[in-house]
Amino acid sequence: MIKIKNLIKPKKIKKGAHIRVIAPVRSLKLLSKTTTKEALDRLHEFGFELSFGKHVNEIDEFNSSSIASRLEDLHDAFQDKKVDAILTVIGGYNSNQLLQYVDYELIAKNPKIICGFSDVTVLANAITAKTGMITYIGPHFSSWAMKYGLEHSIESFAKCCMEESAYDFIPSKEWSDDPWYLDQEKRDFIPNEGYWILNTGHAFGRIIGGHARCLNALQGTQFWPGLDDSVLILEEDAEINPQLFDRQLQSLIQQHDFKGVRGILIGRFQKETKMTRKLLERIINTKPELQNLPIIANADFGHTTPLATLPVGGSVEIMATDDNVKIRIIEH
Amino acid sequence: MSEIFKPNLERNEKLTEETEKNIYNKEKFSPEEAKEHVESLINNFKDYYTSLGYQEVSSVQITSGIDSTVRFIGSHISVFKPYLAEERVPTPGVYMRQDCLRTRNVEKLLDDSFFPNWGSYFSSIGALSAPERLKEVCDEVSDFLEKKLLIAPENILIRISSTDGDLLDITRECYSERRMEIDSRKIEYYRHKIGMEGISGRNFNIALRNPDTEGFADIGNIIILEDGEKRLGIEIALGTSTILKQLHGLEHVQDCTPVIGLETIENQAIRRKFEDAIITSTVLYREGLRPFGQHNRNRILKQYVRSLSYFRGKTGMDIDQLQQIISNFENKEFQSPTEDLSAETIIEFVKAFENELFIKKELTDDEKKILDSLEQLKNNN
Repeated sequence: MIKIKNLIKPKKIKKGAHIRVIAPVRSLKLLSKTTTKEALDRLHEFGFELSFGKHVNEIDEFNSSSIASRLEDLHDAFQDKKVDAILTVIGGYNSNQLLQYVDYELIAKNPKIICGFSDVTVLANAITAKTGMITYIGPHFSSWAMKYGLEHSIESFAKCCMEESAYDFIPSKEWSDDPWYLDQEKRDFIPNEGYWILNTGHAFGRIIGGHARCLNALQGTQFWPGLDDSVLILEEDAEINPQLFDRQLQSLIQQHDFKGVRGILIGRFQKETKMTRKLLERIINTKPELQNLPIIANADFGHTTPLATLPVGGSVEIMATDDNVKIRIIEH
Repeated sequence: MSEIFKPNLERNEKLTEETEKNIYNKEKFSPEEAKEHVESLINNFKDYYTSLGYQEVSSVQITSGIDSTVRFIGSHISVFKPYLAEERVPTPGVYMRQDCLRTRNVEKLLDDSFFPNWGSYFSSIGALSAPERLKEVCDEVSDFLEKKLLIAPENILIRISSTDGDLLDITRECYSERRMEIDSRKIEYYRHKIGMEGISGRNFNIALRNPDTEGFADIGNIIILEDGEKRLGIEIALGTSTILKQLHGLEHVQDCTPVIGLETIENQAIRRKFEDAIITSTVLYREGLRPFGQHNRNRILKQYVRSLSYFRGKTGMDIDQLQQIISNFENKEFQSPTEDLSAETIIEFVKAFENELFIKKELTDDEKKILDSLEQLKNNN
């Protein structure tokens, strides 16, 4: 049984807040100058002040930087009293290299919003596990460079990171899965068919998860956030396929504390994964452990646009009937 | 029904009567004044012990987990334990104020026949003095009560066991024989366990005369803490709400942390448990505890939070009204800025648990009780 730490809610940010951009995974150098400028402009336009970690431009053969550099920037961002919130540059593969070296006490003493997705799932869930602090699965710094289709993501970021009240997690009108960073003008927006209600029921619990394989990477480690009274959020990127997702999900089900999961919320799959509603239903239906859990998919988070912000360690309520679903983000 | 809160003519007449000074030359205070009285008593205690040369020790969060033998901090002894373990109690000693939680009411929250004489949450004031200072400690406590709180000696009673010769000898020096009640309780009443292997306590209790009725009520104790024959320290433990209840003739200890808005509930058992659930939930939420997970303290919090639904059903209270009451209580008790209030979060949790009850197929007996109460509320609306 994992002891759940007391919740620490980082202070909400306001317009004018100072955001520090750090690169705990891949380097800022990976972004084109245009993307960096567009992200900066958008964040400035939104009213934020920006600064960068000392080592964000370091880059090695893995497009990342040394553990020491990444740690220094992470710790500095939490320690620096002038910094109100932290955005990660972009995802990648290696934030779990940092976990045993992170000064969790420093973070707990200086709670701040830290937001990113994909590989940042590892860091976010580990911080929540070790400190009780809510962390945020949501836009990276680079995500803010998106010229079209970012409104819903920003609205969600604002509700989650800038406002105190509970709110309903409402589906977007349209979505896209374009490599927008290659061509901002060539976008294809698809009407959103809404949530896929794969299982009905009620769930209320702590939000745990993010990128599925990254969450898997924490299994069996001291950084595992525990699944007691949890609602799992799971998303994947284009590297996965239905069989792989099945395997990763099965692996979560085999966790000793999976019986503590109250419900599952699955982010929209990228087209390249070839995941369909039918296949996902098939995957879910073959797992007896999931039969009594409400499971909702095609939610606006993950590697497609829009990308909602969700609070790891916060709480959510899901109420799903055959033809209706309500998802309420309660504490964030 | 509370006599002091009800605003009608008959009650006002009663109020006039009740505002007369009692044997302590004090009167009941209003809910608005409660916080001020509690803080004033605590400051009085702190000033007094500072003047004696004691050092102040910082208080800890109720859920701090610094003492693995308890779920919640229920006494300042949890903070004092390292002094005992390392046998380094300074002279004259250390003192502190500690907010405490004792959740003995939790299992009976939904039992309508149970009236809670105690609230779960209270502020304790206490000290730990060097082991050789038993006589001085007794004198100091006596002076605090008589000179600082201006309690006449005849209103103080010592409850002590004849088996504790050393305590008996000292108390006979400090208090007159007629103010002592010897062997009136079972031996366990005079014994303490503090969750440290080999260490136990022998105590006498201090009681104050009831201002309106016969008898006395305990307000604290002095405890010799020892490891076998070896004396490790002398502990002083006083409850602020028990002292103020006696001095001001309050109806209940929870009137020291009043929850304004529940005064008109006629069933006193429901009223006091409803207050207790609001106070305890608020205190624990503010410390970041949430009713998630399998650990006992999380489960205990869940019982308090779920009981809020039961009580609001029983008293016909809508959810917005409950939020307002919690919010007012929190504001008053903790004087926090609005953005730091937990009331809205607590209510969101209450709603989510209620939604679950209406959907869930297999309910426990307690869940059935809560659901019945909510359905009754729904039918009445």
